[in-house]
Amino acid sequence: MINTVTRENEKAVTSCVKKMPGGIEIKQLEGYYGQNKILKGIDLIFPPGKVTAIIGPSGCGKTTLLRSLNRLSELSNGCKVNGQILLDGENILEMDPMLLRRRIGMVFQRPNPFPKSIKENILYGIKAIKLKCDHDATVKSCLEKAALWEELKARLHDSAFALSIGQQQRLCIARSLAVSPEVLLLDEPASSLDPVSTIKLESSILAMKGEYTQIIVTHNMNEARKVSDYVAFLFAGDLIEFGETDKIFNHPLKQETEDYISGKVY
Amino acid sequence: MKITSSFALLVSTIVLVLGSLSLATNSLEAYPAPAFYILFLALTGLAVSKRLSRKRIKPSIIILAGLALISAIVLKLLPVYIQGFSINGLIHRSIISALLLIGIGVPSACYALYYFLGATPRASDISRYPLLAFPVVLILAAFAIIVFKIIIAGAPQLNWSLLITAYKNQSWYTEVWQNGWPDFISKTTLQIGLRNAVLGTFLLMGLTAIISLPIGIGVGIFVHQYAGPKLGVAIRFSTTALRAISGIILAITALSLIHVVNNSFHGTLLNYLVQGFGYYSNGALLTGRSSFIFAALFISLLVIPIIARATEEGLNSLPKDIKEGSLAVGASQEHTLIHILLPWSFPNIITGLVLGCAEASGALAIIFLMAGTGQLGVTPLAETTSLAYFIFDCNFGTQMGDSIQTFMGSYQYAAAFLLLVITVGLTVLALILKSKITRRYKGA
Repeated sequence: MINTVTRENEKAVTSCVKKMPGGIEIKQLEGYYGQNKILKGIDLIFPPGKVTAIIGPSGCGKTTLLRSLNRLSELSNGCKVNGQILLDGENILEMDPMLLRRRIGMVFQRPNPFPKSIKENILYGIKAIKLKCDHDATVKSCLEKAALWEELKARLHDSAFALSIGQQQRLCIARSLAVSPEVLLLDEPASSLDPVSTIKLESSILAMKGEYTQIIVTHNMNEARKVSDYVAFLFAGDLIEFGETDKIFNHPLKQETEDYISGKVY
Repeated sequence: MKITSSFALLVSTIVLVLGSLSLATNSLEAYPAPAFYILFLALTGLAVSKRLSRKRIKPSIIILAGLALISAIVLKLLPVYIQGFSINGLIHRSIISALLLIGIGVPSACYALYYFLGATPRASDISRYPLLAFPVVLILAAFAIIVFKIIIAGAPQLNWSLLITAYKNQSWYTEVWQNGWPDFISKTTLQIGLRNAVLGTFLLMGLTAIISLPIGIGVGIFVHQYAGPKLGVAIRFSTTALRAISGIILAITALSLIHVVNNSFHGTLLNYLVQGFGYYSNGALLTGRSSFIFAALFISLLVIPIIARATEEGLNSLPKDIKEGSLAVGASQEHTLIHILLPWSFPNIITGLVLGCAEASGALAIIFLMAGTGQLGVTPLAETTSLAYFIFDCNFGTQMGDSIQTFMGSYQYAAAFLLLVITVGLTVLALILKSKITRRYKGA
C-alpha cells in the first residue's frame, strides 16, 4: 500500500518542472498526544509551488500533521512528534522554531487578527523579526495578494476587529505573506466563512499558486476539488492515498478513499 | 378583580418600605402592627375574591395572611427591649418588626404582583422580581444614605485654605527680654488643615502602585506563561491566601520581624536609612511611628495578589488562536508577550491597580501601627499619615496621644468627603482610560 502511495507521490514531485524552494518531505512521521498515537508513520512529499489538500475524517490527524510542519504542535501540552520533516533538505525538528515559522506561514481555522489596526496587523511579523523594508509597499503588496487592497486601502488604520469575518481571514493570509514565507499552511481556512467570502478566499489561494507551496486541510470536498493540485487522504493516522486531484476524485485507487469522497461512510 | 390584587400590591410595598426604614430607626414602631393587620386583610381579600370568581389560588397566600396576623399579635406582645437567649445586649423590638415586615412583605409582594399581572406563566416569571430587586434596592439605598451623609456633612466644611494648610500643633520656648532680664515664655503654633493627609494619601497610593505594579504584573505573567500547572496552582493559592490575611496580622508580624532584624547588621543599616522615623536612638522599634515606605511595602503585600490575579485573568482572556497566530509569523514568546498579551490585558491591570489604590487609600489596620499626624511633612521617609488615619484620629486621637481630635475632630466628614472624591475620581479616570484602550486595541 505504502509503495503505491510513495510512487505516486514521487511522480508528482518530479513532474514539477521548475525546481523551487518550499518543498517539504516527511519521513516516518509519528505524532503522539499523551499515550494516543495520532500519526502512525507517514511518508509524504509536498510538491513545491503547488496546492496540496489534506482530507480525511475528523480526528484522523490532519491538523496535527499540519501543526507539526511549523512546530506549533509543540505548544500543546503532551503533543510529541517523532520522525523527520525536511524543508528544502533541512530537518525542521532541529531548526530554531522562530526561524522556521518565518519560512512557513499559517492561517488558522478561525480568523485570528491581532487586536491592532489593519496596517499594524500586516507589519507585525516584519517588526517582530526586525526586517528592514518599505512598510507601505509591503502593506500594499500583501493586501493585493489577498485581494483586499481595493476594499481596505482607505481604512488601513481601523481596528482589524471591525472587519467582516471573511475580510479578517484574508487579512490573516496577507499577514502571513508579509514575512515572505516559502510555505503557507491553511487549517480549514473557509470553515467559518460564508459562501461569498469562501469564493474570494479560494480565488486568492488560486492566485498564489506557483509562488508559495500551499498545504490546505479541509473538510469541504468541493473546495479541495477546486483549489488543489494534489490530494492526500488521511485515515486514522495513516496516509491512505496521494495523487492528483482529478485522479483522486474521479478514479480513487482505494475503497476507503472512494467511500469517504462519496460520503458513503464516516 | 384587579382591585384586590392592586390593593394587596400597594399594602405589601408599604410593608416593605416600612420594614426597610425600621432597620434604621426605632421611631416607627407604632406602625408595624397596623400594617400587618392591613396586610392580613388585603391578602385575605385577594384570596376570597379569587375564590369567588372560581379561580385557583395558591395555598401559600393563605399561609402568608395567617403569618401576617400572627406577626401583628406577636409584635403587640413583645416588650420594647428583648433580653436573654444568651445574647449579651439588648435588642429593640423594631429590629424584630423590621425582619418580620421584610420576611413577609417580600413574598406577599411577589404573590400580589403575580395575581395583579393575571396569573399567567409570564406573570409568574415577573413576580420573582421583588425577590431579586428588593435586596439590591436596600443595598443601593444604604449606599445612597451613606454617600449623601458624607456629602451633606463634608462638602460645606471644605474650603481652599483647609486644603492647602497642613495641620500643625507645635509648642516651643522663646527668649524675651523683660526689664533687662531674659525670660522664657511658651509659644504655640496651631494650624488647621488637611494638606498633609491628602498628600499622604496620594503618596501612599503612588508608592504602593510603584512597588506592587511591577511585581504583580510579573507574578501574573509568570503564572500564565512560565509556571507549570502545579506551580501555577500553588502560586495562585498562596497569593489568594495572602490576600485573605487581615491587614492587622500582616502589619504586626512585619513590624515584629523588623524589630528582630534590628539588632543585626542589616537592622542597623535599616535603622540608618530611616533614622529618626520609626526607631528610638537605642534601636528599639517605636511602634506607631514609621515611614511611608514601610506602610507602602506592607500594603503592597495585600495589593500584589490583586494585581497579579487581574493580570493573569487578562492574559488568560486572550484567545489562544491570537497568541498562536503571533508565534506562527515567527515572533518570539517575548515579543508576543509585550506586543499582544500585555496590551490586551491592560484594562484588567488598570482595574487591579484601581482596586489596589483604593486598598491603599482606605488601609487603616496597617498604617495604624506606624502612623502619625503628618506634622513632619510628607516624604517617603516621614511618618505616615493619610485621610483614613486622619478620620480615625478625629475620633480616637486623644486616646492615641494625638492632639488632632481636640482641634480638628469636627472635620472628619470633610476628610471622608475628600477620600470619597479621590476614590471616585480614580475609578472614573480608570474607566475612561479603559474605554480608550479597549477602543484602540480591541476596536469595540
